Order: sequence, then C-alpha cells, then structure tokens
Amino acid sequence: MSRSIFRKLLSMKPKPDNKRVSPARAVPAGRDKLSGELAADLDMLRNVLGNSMDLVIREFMLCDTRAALVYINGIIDKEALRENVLRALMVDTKMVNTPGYSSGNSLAARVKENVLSIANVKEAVEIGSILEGILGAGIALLFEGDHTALTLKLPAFETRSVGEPQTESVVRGPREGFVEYLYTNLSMLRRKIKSPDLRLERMQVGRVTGTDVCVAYIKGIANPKIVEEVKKRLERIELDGVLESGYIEEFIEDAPFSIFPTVGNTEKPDRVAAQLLEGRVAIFTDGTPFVLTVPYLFLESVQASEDYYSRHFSSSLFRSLRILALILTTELPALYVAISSFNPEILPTPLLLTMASSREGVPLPAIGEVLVMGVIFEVLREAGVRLPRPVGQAVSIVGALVLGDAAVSAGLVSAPAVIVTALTGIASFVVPSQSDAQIFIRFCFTIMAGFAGFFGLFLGFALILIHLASLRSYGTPYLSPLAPFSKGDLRDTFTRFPWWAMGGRPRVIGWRNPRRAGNVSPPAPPGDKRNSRGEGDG
Amino acid sequence: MLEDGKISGRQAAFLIISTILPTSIMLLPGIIYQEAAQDSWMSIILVTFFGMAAGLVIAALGMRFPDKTIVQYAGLLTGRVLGKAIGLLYIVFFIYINTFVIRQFGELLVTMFMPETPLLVFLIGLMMASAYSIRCGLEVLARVNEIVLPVVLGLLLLIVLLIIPEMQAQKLTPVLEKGIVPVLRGIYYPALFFAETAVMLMIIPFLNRPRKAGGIILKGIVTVGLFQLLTMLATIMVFGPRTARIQFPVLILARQISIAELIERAEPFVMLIWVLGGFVKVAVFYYCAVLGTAQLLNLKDYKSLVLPTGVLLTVLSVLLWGDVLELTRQITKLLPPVFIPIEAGLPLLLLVLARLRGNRGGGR
Repeated sequence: MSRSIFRKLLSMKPKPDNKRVSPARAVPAGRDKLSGELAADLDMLRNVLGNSMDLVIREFMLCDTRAALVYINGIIDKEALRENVLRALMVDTKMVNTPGYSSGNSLAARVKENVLSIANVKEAVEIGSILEGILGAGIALLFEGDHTALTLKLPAFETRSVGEPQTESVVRGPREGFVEYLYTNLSMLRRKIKSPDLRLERMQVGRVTGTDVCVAYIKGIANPKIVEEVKKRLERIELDGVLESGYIEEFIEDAPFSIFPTVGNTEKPDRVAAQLLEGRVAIFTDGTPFVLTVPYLFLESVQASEDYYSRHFSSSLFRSLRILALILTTELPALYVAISSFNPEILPTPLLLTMASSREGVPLPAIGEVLVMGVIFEVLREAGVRLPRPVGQAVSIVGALVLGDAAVSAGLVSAPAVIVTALTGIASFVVPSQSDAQIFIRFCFTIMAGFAGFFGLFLGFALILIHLASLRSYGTPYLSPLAPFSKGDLRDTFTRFPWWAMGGRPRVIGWRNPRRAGNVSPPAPPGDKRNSRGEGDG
Repeated sequence: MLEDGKISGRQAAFLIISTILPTSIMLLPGIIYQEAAQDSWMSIILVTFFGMAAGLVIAALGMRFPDKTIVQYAGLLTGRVLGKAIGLLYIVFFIYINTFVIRQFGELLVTMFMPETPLLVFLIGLMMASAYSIRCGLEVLARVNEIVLPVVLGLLLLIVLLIIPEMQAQKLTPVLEKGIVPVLRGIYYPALFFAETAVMLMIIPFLNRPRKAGGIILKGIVTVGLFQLLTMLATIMVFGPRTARIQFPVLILARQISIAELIERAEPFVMLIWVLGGFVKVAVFYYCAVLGTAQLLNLKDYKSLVLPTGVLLTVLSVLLWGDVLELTRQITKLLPPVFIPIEAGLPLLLLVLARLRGNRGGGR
C-alpha cells in the first residue's frame, strides 16, 4: 500500500533528460572531433572547460611541429611529466624523424611508439575522450596538423595513506583498511588474490561526477547470473553524483523498504577477499573506503573476519555470544515490560520483591521508563558520535551521573530500567552491521509488549521472522543457511569449524564451485595413520 | 501457476509436524486420558499408525497428480460438477477447522495468561501474522517454519526434561486394567488430529520432488507421534488421574517446574510454543483455503483473497461459539464424525476411484 503510493510519487518526478555519463556532453554538436588546427583545438578545450583556473596549457616545438600539453594542475604527476614527457619531447626527439626508428604514419603514433616513456598512453580522436583523459588525471598531447591526440595517464594526488579501519578493528588479523582512491584499493585486493581469474570490471556511474566503480569477482567461483545482475543494476543508476557507496547501495539493494540491509559493506581488504572466495561479488567505488558485497545474508552480521583467524573454539563461542547480544538488544526492554507489567509472577520470589521495591514510587509505567531511557540513550550515543573529542567527557558525565544515577535516586526511573537500558545499549554495539534494524525492532517490540505483554513480544518476533524469511539478496534467501536449511553450511554459522573441516564452499552462494580445499584431514602427529590417508569428510 | 514457490521435502515434513503438533499436545492428553486412563500412551501409538495409513492414502492420491491440488484433480476423477463440489467441501473444511484452531488459540491465551485482555486482540494479532506470511507465499511460510519448529520442539523437550524430578513411574500402572477396549476408544478423538495431513492434498504439487510425498508424510507423522507420546507419558507420570480434568496439561506441567529456585515457572516457554506453533498451524490451513478458493474460481492470483478470508476466519471464530465450554463440547463431540471422513475417507474413496479409472494426471 505505502509502497504503491511511494511509487506513484516517484513517477510524478520529471524524467531526467540525459542518460550518458560523459564529458562529451559539453562539446558543441558537430565539433566533436579534432580539427587538426592546434590553436582552434586548444581554444575549443579551453572553452569547454570554462577557462578553468587550474587548467594548464603548455605549447612547445616538437622538432619543427607545434605541439601542446594540456593538463589539470594538481592531479597529475609533475615529476613524471618533467622527466618522461617534456624532456623526451623537447630534447630527445631526434629519433622521431629518424627513418629506421619511426613506424606508423601520424606524428602522434610516432611519438607514442618512440618517445614517450610512459606506460599508459592512448590515442584519441574525439574531443570527448580527450576531455575524459584530462579530467581523469591525465595529460593530453596535441599536435599541429594532426587529427589524433595522445592522452597519458599520470595520476598523482594527495591520498590518505593506508591505515587501520575505524569501523572494524581487530585483535588478530590484517590491520590495513581501504582508502579513498580506487586503484590503491584494487591493488590491495590484487595483492591478496594472485589469480588470473580475479575479474575487475570498470563502470562509470554518476552523470556529473563520472565516478569510477569496479565490479570485482572471481571467475569460476562467482555465479555469473549474480555478476550480470549486479552490472545490470549498476547500469540502471541515473544519478548526478555518486559520492559514497551508500548512494549505489540504495539503488542496487533488493528490499529498499526493509529495515534490514541486503547489501553488505566493509573496509577491510581481507574481508573482501574472503567474500570473493566464497563466491560473492564486490563493488568498489572511487572516493570511499567502503566496499559493497553481495549477496549479503543475515548471518553475516554475526560473523567477524577475526573469527577465521583466531582458534575455532573461541570463534564459535564469540559467535554464540554475538547472537545472544543480538537477542538481548532487541528483546530485553520488551521482556522487562512484559514481565513487570503483565506477568511478574514468573520471576522467583526474592527477585520479584527486589524489583517491586525498586519500582515503588516511580511515576512512569514500565513501558514509559524503558522508552524514555531508550530514547535518552540513543541521543547520548548520537551526541557521542558527532561531538568534538574534548567535549566527550562532559557528555559521559552528564549521561552516566545525571541521567542515570540522579534519575534513580530522585525516584524518576527505577534502577532495573536503567540496568536494562544500559545492557541493551552495550549489546547493540556487538553486532554493528544490524544497528539500524536493532533500534527499530527494539522500540517496536517494547511497544508491542507494552500493549499485550508476552503475546505482543512473541507476535512481533513472528512478524519479524516472516519478514526476514521473505527477503532475498540477489536471489539468495536472506536467512539461509538456516531457512532454507543447508546442513553443510551450518558449520560456519553459529559455530566456526576448523578450516580443515570446512572443505566445502558455502553452498547457497558458491554452489557453482563447491570445493575450496582438496582432501582435507585434521593435522596429526608424524607417523599417525591419519596423515597418510589424506581424506576428510569436508 | 498460482504459487511458483517450491518447498523441499524437509520443509514439507516440518510443515506437517507444525500443522498437527501445537494443538494436539495442548489438548489431547486430557481428552485421551478420559477414555484410556493410564494406558493413554498406547492409544497414541495406535493412532500414530492410523495417521500413517491416512497419510499414505493422501500421498498415494497426491502422487497420481503430482502437479495438481485436490481442488483441481477432483473434477478429473468425478466429473466437473461433483469435482467442484468436492473442491468446495475441502475449502469449507479448511476454513471451518481453522476457526476451531483460531478460537482455541485465543481461548488458551485469555484463560491461562491474560484474563483481562479481550479475545479479539489475540485473534487479530494471530491473523495479522498468518495473513502476512501467506501473502509472502508458501516458500516463506516453509522457511519461517524451519526456524520456528526447532524452537518449538526444543522448548517442549526442555519442559519434559525439567519436569523429570516430578515424575512417578508407578502412575502408569496397572497396565490394561480394563482390557484393550478403552485404549481403542482413545484413538477415536486424536485420529482427527493425526489425519490433518490432509493439508498435503493441497501442498504436494509444490514439493520439489512430489514422488517422495509418502516418505515425507510418514516422517512427519512419526515425529508428531513421538513427541505426543513423550508429553503424554510425562503428563500421566506427573498428574496421574488428575490428567483427565486438566484442560491444557502441558501448560500445567510447565507451571510445576521448579529448579533450584531459579527457574520457577516456565509458562512463557509454553506461550512461545503456542504463539509460534499456533501461528504456523493457522497459516497452513489458511493457505490451503485461500489457494483452494483461487483454484476453484480460476483466479490468477490468490493474494486478493487473503484479506477477505482472514476477516471471515476471525469473525467466524468469534461468532460460532459463545464460550469455551461450547467450543470444547463441539470439538470432542461434533468434529471427529464429520472431519475424519473428509480428512481420510474421501481421499480413500477418490484413490479407489482413480485406480478403477486408471487415471494418471501426471502428464498433463
């Protein structure tokens, strides 16, 4: 219902007129090719770029021909420009006209073949592609009387150095995180997966920003249908600007009206590599360290990359703890409300008495207490994220002392409500990737429990469960491998089996290439007969 | 197709268990005990065999038409008019039996947990969840059930485990005090529940391997029988002759639990079993009714029927009975002679008919 209204509202919006992502749009019609007249072409470029202050045009003589370099100041490598381009063109150009050396007809082709010691050189005829080269951190080289120009890619701009990711810190495991520059990120991935099957496909999204987006997958492991679907959805995006992968996420997710994310994100290269090896597809976006991965399943939110690096007993234990925390943070306030206002008799008598005495004289009903404290906690948390660091202490003093302690001793809120809220709040940080959903579910459950006690809570639980079961991420059921049940995949859900026992790729995603290990067997002391058998159950 | 989803054999078996178990474990022990006393557990073993037989008949019939529901193939066997009538009969059956389940669901919650809350609150909540799951399709219902059922069975086992200290095995004696007749009489009423595999008449075409329907139904019935036996034994051994007077024995069992003064009363567990299990049970019958109606009327989509049917079910379940006593009397007296023939008798008749006419609808 609300969905169809929303759709109608959307369709009332005027349709965007221009589809193509290209600087060629700015070029006047009929003059989209080089004229061969240097001065005219340079004027043209200058006009199209609006005589921008950072545009640099350097004219010089190449032997006896006039030529010009066009680039944008600040985004190219000046060192390389000086050493490998200008010096070569102005000083070492004798060979350009040496018959034995030259091949190709045009001057541009000869320069490209013989002079420039730069790897990434392309010939360009259209103004549009020249502009693309200049704006994409390159240099354009134009010659008098030649219809072909050269574009040289020489990017060099200020980037953040690789550091430890803030959102996913680990005790054990690689500490490097992605940065904002796409090609650095891709290099980090290449360094981890040295396989010719690693495919990186470039796309451009954003009509004005022309943001580079890269679809990464491993051929032979990823499902080609999912790869196609990702590319199709990316192509459908019609948006002026893509400044972060979140823009893309909202266009390519399966369930835009769900509170649950159906696209994953991470800023850790090791995590992306692991996802690709399981058969997923990653989407890199230039300008952000957050890489999207699909399909994204519900249980991924309780899996940390560290689970796979530390010993499997502790990993399994911590996974169970995370699931417990997920249940606590969504259901604890609702349970408190259900018990204290509807079924207090289920508590053991001593605990019941303690609770009753602390609730005595509190003006609010249990649901009021929990909701008010819950909202206050969210406000404090949000303040903590935004505020400058030195103010942090003040907030924590106000939060902990004034709101918690003073409210209880003044008799405004009961101590159990504060404990419940604090525990809920702490538990909500355990599974960060579901944090949006957690808040919604928590408040909904609390309100439902306030209306109908345990029945409301269980009903809410059933509704959320139905919703989760109805979600899919790129064709994969969101709750798999729990529902639909997949026995082999269960090794890597609530528990994490040792690596030698997980020879199978997760079936729901990587079914096209089901084995990721050869014959695996548990390690055994030398001379043990298990060593020679070399067979595992996988 | 009205329903494009396919469910696996495991999901189907789980659905069968969820269709029978939630209400049967709550209601049956007391009623069987009235007939068979301390030998009630034998009745359950016998009725499980009856359930297996009925299930096999249903499976055999369904496997003759692996791509059709009974609403669709009844016409092929008996002619168009009679076929429509049989289809309608099943739709009415699915709706009518569901009103009993829904009312029972609400009554238990009102009488045992929240006497001050109006009955309608529970019914509307339940129907909301069921309607939502049905709109999402059979696949989603099956997936939800894959998570719900292990929780339900796990909690049931937990309750039985925790109550072990209260059990006294001598309450099972004397064995066969009054001969075999009371045991046989004890089959009569639970047979109604154990033949609820009739829902498979509507679900077999959506199995990914319809040929395995027989095995799936047997697995489901045997599991139900085992859990029923377990709760029956626990109830008898804890309450003895008092069992006959207890309306919801599992709930009272849970109330008896007291472990180390920490776990005092496990009632919320029972409520969880009842709400989650009951919701799936209602949803399965609800789905069969909605799908059958859509097929009977040759509709392209059953989704438009979900809301009206839901309203009908809610209203009927409130209006049909004045109070719990009337409801219980109807359940025990009226239902078995009417519903058992529809659940098991008619499919048997159709199966015989199909054999005689050599009808195999599989190719179409």
